[in-house]
Amino acid sequence: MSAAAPPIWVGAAVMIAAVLQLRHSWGLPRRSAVQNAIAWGVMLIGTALALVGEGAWGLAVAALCSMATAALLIAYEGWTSPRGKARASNRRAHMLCDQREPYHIGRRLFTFVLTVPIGFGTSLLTALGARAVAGMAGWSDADGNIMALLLLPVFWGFLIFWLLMRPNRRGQFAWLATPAAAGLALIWVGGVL
Amino acid sequence: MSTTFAKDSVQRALSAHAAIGLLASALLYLICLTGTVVVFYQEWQRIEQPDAPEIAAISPDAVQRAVKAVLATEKAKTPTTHLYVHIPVKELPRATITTDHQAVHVDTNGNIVGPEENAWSEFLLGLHYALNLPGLIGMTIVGIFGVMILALSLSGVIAHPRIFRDAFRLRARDNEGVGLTDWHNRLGVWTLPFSLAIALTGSMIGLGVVGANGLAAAFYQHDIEAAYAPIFGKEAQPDARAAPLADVAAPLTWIAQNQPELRPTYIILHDPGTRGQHVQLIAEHPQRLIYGETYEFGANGRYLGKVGLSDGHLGQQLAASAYNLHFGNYGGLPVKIAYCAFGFALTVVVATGTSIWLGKRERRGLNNPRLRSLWDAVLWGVPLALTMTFIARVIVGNAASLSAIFWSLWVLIILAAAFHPHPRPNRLLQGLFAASLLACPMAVLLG
Repeated sequence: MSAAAPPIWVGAAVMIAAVLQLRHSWGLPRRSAVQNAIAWGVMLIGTALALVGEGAWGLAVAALCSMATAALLIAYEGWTSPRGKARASNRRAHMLCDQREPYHIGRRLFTFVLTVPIGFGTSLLTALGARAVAGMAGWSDADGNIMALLLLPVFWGFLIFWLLMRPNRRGQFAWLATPAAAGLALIWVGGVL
Repeated sequence: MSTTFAKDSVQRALSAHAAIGLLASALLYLICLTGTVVVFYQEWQRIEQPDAPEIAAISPDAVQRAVKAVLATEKAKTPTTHLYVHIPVKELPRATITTDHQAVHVDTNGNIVGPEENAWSEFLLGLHYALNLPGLIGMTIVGIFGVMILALSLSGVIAHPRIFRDAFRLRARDNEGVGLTDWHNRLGVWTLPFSLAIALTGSMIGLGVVGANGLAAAFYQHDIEAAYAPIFGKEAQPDARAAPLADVAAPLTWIAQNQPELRPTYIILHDPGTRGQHVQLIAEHPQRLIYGETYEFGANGRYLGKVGLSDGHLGQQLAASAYNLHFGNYGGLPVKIAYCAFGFALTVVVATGTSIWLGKRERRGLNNPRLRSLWDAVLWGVPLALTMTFIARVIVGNAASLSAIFWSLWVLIILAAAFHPHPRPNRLLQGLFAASLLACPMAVLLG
């Protein structure tokens, strides 16, 4: 950090101010798009200041400061909140059957197979397909390879969620087959297969 | 988006959230808890072996003498392929040399003082990194759990439409599950940036080998080293013919003269005592997220260049930043304390998730004492087994089979909970955990 201008601390201070503004805007009796926009705008400015000041290190430190501020606000809220009479939500997650309901073991196992092993295979092929595109676009091997290693968990995490959100098997198959086929084709064109 | 569709999506997201959470919760809890504790990896090592020589710095010549002395003790053994010198740093002011056969501390003159004894720290790291499983299987499994956190974060946000609006509302004292749900949702929201960063870097590290195998198969004719080379540099060609020991002092002198602002952390000597030997010096760059830059030197100490982790391709810098961002060792003790706090919060989020689900079922009249008892065995059995391994390390010594103790104890607790769900084991386990936690500092002080 340069002695003349410590922008990381300025960035951290601005991000803390953004958390305080969020506390204000989310606490309003009615939703205010303007107040929310101010909060997120201030957050963006703080992020930019931290990034400009000390790069990724600055952003990481400033983000920790803002999260710590939020944690303190939450701790205060928890400490001062009175004992209420609200009843907890009983929304069903439909994970285990209630009494006399069928177990659907086969259906559940098949969903597991689709989301975990097959989902992983699809994500890997998609990430490698993206790597092939990067190679064809003239990216360096270092950038392309790291992008693929980064995209693998991102794709897979998103795919698990997305597959579980599909209402039927046809939708799940489509979301598995399409990216896998595209990835495979791209690898065929841009790889050594 | 119509209201019906939105409600449908929210319900499906809740089912997805519960499905992933229940599938992953036990091991995810273990990984999060050990990750929280292992943030203080360096500090644990100092606690484990308080009498190890602590030195602020070591001269280049002393390092050279130490390397020579360590290799001299291994003449009768298979030649080590790598030799690592840990340079004393503020957080761990110890000079330690590690080979394929041993790890020893050395003093400021380069004399061997004694063996490094950090079995518990290594066990803890191994448990978090790979569930103590050999090879790369464990790392890959842990990487998969990182992906699960990503999917849980996404489904959690979609499943709770008011999660941001209520982000500052914590009814901590409410019973009947309201308080538990609020803790889960608030900590989940406010640790979201941290959780995503940890999950992404963790899964990237864990699944790295599988991903690299895919890269090798698709682009490098199955050569995995070639897939890594553009990021971390190439391995030099080995040449097993004997040669005088490489100059490991010169790299330290070079860095002190040419880059005095950097902080050397490791010297790695590849294939020592052979014609193929070469030296790498890892140095930390202040106020950077990267774990360091790798400076390459020939056996004669001549500087050959650097890999480019500090100023090379963006991908190289990103790869080198993933480790520090995951483990929280980029800003001294304050950042470590923050990581410990947020890591604990993430652990609480995982722990409360399944508890909320069980609570909902019980409020609907679906009591399942065995499931509840098993979850108690996870929640309190893991920390109890962990503290017991620490006590075993202090009492038995560095040779204690910590992995065996941890896993057998945890499995026993789970089996006991499964076969004797009445009465609920939570009170007993909490009491045992509290007692073992108190016993840890006492064991250290008395041991």
